[in-house]
Amino acid sequence: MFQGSLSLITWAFLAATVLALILWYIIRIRFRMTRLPVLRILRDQSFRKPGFTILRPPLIPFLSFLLICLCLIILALRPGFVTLQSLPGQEASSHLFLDMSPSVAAQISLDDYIKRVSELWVHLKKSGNVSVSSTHSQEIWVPKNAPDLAGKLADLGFHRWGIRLGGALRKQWPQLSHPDQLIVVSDQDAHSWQNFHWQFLKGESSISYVPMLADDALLSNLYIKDARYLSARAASLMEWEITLSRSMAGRSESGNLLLSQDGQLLNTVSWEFLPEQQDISLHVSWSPPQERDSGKGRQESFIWELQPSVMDQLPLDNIFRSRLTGSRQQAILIAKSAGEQRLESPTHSLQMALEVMGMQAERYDRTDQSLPDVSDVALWLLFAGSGDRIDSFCPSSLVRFRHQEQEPVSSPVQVWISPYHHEKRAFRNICWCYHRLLHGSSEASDMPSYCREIPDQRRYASVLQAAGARQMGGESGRPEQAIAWEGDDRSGRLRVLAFSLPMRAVAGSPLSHASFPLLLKDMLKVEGFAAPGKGNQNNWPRYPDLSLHRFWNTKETLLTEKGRQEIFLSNVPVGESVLKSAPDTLFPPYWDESLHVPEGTSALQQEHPDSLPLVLALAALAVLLTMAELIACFVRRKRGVSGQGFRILLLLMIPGALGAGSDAFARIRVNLKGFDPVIPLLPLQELAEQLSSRTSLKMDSEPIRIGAGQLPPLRMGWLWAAKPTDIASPGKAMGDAFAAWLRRGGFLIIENVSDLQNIKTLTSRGFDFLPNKGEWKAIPPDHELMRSFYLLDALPGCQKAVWHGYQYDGRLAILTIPFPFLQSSGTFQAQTVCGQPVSRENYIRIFINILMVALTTDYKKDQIHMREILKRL
Amino acid sequence: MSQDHTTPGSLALLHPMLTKEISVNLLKRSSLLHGSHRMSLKRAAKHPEYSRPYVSGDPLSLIDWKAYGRTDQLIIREQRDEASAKICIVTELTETMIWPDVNQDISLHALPQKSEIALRIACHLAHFHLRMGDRVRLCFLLSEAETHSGYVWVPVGPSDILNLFHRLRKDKFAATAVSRQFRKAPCAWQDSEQIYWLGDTLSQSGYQAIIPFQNRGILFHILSSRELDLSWLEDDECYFDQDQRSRARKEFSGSHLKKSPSVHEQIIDWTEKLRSSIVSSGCWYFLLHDKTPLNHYFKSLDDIFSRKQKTMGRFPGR
Repeated sequence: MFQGSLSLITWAFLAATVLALILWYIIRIRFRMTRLPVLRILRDQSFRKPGFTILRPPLIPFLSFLLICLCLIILALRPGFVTLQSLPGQEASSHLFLDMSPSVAAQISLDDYIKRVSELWVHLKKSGNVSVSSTHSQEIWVPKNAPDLAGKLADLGFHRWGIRLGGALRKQWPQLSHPDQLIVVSDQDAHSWQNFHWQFLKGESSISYVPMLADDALLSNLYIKDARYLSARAASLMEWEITLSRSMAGRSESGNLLLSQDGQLLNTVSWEFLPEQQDISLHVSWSPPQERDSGKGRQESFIWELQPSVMDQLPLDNIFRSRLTGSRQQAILIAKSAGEQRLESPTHSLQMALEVMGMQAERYDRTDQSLPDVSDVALWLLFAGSGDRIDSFCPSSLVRFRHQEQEPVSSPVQVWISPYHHEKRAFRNICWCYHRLLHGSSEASDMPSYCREIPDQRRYASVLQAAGARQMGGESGRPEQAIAWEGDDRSGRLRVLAFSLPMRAVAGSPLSHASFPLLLKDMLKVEGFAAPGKGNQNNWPRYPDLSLHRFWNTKETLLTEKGRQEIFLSNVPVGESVLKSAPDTLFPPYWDESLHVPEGTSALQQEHPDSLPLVLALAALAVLLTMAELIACFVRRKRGVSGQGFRILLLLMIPGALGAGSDAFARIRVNLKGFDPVIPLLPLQELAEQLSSRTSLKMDSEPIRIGAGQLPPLRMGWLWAAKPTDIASPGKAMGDAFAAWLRRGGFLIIENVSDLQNIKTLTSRGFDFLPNKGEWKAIPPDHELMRSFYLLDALPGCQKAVWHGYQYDGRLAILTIPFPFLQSSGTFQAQTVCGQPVSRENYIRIFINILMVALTTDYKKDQIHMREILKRL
Repeated sequence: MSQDHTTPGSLALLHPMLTKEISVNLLKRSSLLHGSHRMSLKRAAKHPEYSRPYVSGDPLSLIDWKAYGRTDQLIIREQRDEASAKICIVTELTETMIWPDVNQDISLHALPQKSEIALRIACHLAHFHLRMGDRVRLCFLLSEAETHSGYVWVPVGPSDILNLFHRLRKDKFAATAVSRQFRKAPCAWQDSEQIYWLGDTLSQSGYQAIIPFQNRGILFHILSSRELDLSWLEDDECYFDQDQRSRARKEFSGSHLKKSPSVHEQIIDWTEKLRSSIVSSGCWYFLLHDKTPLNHYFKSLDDIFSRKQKTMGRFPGR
């Protein structure tokens, strides 16, 4: 009858109350008490106090009175709302979100980390299912046992990239299906916790936090902040400027900086921090090996390693990588010899200029010499003469390289084709080579017809422009002023620049000895070659938040091997290196082992027996007794016993108490019309559970069925019809009473609507005469139905039939669904819409959105909600 | 069924504006209330320290029309003569004054409570004296335990009294309305030249304070007509009163009270003894109840001002 059991004190209190009522009735009903102040002047001894006489009350009225009192007491104790508890057998689900960013590595070793996480997992496992995810990727896994978890974590290890917990969890959250408990295992690093608004998750899960902190709170970290390549004017010397930084100043520190490449130690520099210094700069220079290893297995980075004299707090951060591209990029010049090697040779000047720019230039006379691999060379400079054969200056290895599409490249290989002299006929050969490199094959030996017809530079420019090349230099719309024409290979492996002027300071060329180096420098800069000079960044990337990277957004396999290596070997971001702690107010409550793990709240409590039938029976008995008494009084023609009015008043209180109890909270029920009781519906019980767990609404799982021919009462808010013929005969309008119900605020949902034209006739009579008659239209993506609670991308359609709505009076009055929504096999499993599977989650979200529209229409239009809505954006 | 027990022309209909029946000339000639002649002395004074803004109810003759011509503001310049009398009106609003209690007996509905009669008389007296130019201090005693402090109010003009009366009538003369509007302070009737004491004296809350005033102390003994005549008692009812000092409750059945002749006699003896003790000390005593005709009340005021024999207040029929 009651929720739970009443304590002994409560029972005693109730018994005393009933006894007091009985005594009051016996003693005081006889004497009405009236105050008379003038009695104060009377002497006490001269008067006799009236003695109280205990009279036996008449049986029937007294019994009736007791019954009424009992009814009122039971009604007063009846619970006003149903609380949620877990069903037996419902296990709690927990999720462990592991932060394995570099800052955690500063606090705790990997072994200790694995040990503590394993202990936590074992503890949580006692209460239910535990899923685990880390900041490595979007992957969520359920470990079988503790060694399985430990092995997985040991394989993963700490990563070098930075991560923001909020962004990473947001990517994982849709796959988590609302765990009852979310535990974040992390340190207190400000960089990691930045923009993590965990407060918004509190409504969906119980969130807590397990800190992974070092025993000593004083954390100090040494790291390489920057490595910059300085100009190597002399080709025999590499010069770099390294900036070391530390998170905490105040004491002297010293150590060594080691530079290595391919496992070979290149240089060692010692350094020392004075107590007040936060950053220091080191100038590192060394002579690179003369013989370059062009093998495939060579590394593409310098590795700088810090070796402090004392143990560093963040071991991941002692290794710093910088690209080799900063040292020497190889350029190949193919130009026929002028016969003698002179200092004034223009080709030699070009070679010197390239070396000054920081590149390693080699010159070849012909293409049949042993040329290096195309992929090892960043820039090919080809010089075409007027009578040259195509193979003599345009190597076929470049064409073959273009066809090797299975080998990924990080950036396209650049090929610059320039006339040997400023002569008109050289442009034909350049056009030919341009065509061969970008479109032709290595075997083709004929010049294309459009290249043969090039008489001069103007025609050369127009031909290349027609071939899709982009103009470089000169005014826009003046192709004859272009310095070069740029074209890209479709596979992105080659970029070809066809020059309009010789890239050498030769006679007859507009380029002088003074302007040529400037043009070359600008061209290298435009084309993305590392220009020498101070401030040149050659670092490997740092990823402050990898969850923004496509490595996190897509499957890992889509990443190229080189890209994967770049991510895994990336430098630790500065935000993680400084080891700055966030304020305590930023964190969720600490997880405590003694805390009771919240049980699954997705299930409704089992209903206790309702006390309402008993109350009604007692009230009916009391009414019968009172009626019998009144009849007896009437027959005997006697005046009713005293207190009768009071008793009737109490009796009238019972319906009031009943009404108050039923209206204590709003009940939502699904009102059905035309649904065959034989055909199973969607599990409304499960829908009600999901609704109560996801929103603050409570729905009764028992639907109300309205029979054929019956009309919905005016107070009924919404109605769900199985098919259009349940509302009106085919091709006819709905009845006036039905239209009146809709006009007064009713919300109608009709399933199985395939023909919209027939539906439109439904509203022809009840609405069309109105000046503000509604409008039938398909549910647009920005309709309130799509965003009333969940943001829905689309509603499932059926054979090109979509959801339609009748907008009337600024709200959705009728909603048509092109397929049976509630009518189904009685389960969410194997649910299909016209052959297309629809997920259970989608069904629930659509149902909740429909319910929200039925209850509130478009509540988001109200300005009062704007503040809360803006919080979520 | 409830019925209106208000007697036409009785004190239950007393209004502060009902002052025609009182002879003003008599008051002016009275040597008792020395100084209550200021009305005839009032004129527009030249001294700015006597200025105050015009409030509704002030005589138009006191308006400084020259100042009005200069400033468009109605300014009263009245000479505050020290000759005006200091009047203190003490009203008992204790628990025994809140009777008949309509919550206890529905048959007593619409019968004015003793507190209402007392408040009506207090408003009337205050209005009258303010019109005569006296300074009036109103003191309402709500607690039997504190006889020297109550809710005190010093009205400025007759219009204040009219406003108070309207508010009280709106609140059905509830005692709580007084406590809401005024602040608690010592009554300080010792500084007054004349004192009116309105109450049933059942709580004995210091009505003896009027005795030092001799012929300038007036006691209006206010009872309910139902307390003076007990013939209305029901046999089956139980009547009680509780003395807060002794915490002892007296309870009597109606039949017993009606049968016993000594009850009526004791009430008569009580009022007579009270009257004789008050009169013998030189003060004035008047017994009033809700059915007392207004003329009797006005005549009692005339008697006070003309210093006639204090015959008013004898028990009816004796």
